[in-house]
Amino acid sequence: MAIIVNLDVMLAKRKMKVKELSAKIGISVVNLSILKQSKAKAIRFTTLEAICEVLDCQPGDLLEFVPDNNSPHV
Amino acid sequence: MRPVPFLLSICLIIGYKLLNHFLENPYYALLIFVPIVLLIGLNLVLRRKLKYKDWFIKHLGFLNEKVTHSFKSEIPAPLLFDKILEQINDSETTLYDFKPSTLEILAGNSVGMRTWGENIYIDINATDSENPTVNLTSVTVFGIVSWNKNKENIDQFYSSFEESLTI
Repeated sequence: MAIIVNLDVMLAKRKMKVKELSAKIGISVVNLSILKQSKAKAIRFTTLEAICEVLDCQPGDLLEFVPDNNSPHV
Repeated sequence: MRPVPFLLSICLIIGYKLLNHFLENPYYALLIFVPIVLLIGLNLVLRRKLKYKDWFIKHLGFLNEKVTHSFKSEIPAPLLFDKILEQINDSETTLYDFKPSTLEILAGNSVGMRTWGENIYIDINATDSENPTVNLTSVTVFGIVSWNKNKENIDQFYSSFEESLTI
């Protein structure tokens, strides 16, 4: 897995529940849970913007690149 | 939507009238058509419950068209179950029944003037806990031929599911 979503870390830092974030940004709890588990196919800029605004953070706080051990080196 | 089911219904009525006209005893025509009408009625009553899944998929298999599509997902099974339920509620498909203990869902499209109606059975096989398999089965409520509509609906369901994973 190359891109890790650190949404759970940010939620813990802001002491906020997924349900609360869901209500504030209008994205369902199920979709946020999928995002939190890094199982989403892609993330929209609008979603990223809304999360960053509510959690008062930067996109870099939410997304992290972790190189795969098996991935070929460029 | 295709007008074919509606036209076939009209053909059935005309067929009944012709048989009625040419057969010596008018009750012979009734003997042919009453079981068909009763079967349609029975299917309409049974279609909305998951417990009659076998009736449509196995026992009535010779009378219904069935289309199956399977795919694997990386989403854990319980979350995948909720995601599919949410997707059905957001679509034009109606949710009829679901069973969280067995991860089974029954959805469908209603019978109308232009469609026979169909049942979509969704079950999640969580044997491989990291990559559960989703089995989609679309069955016509009554009709040997779906005119490819079942396959179109299943393909549409799958593509909208994939699309919904862009959050």
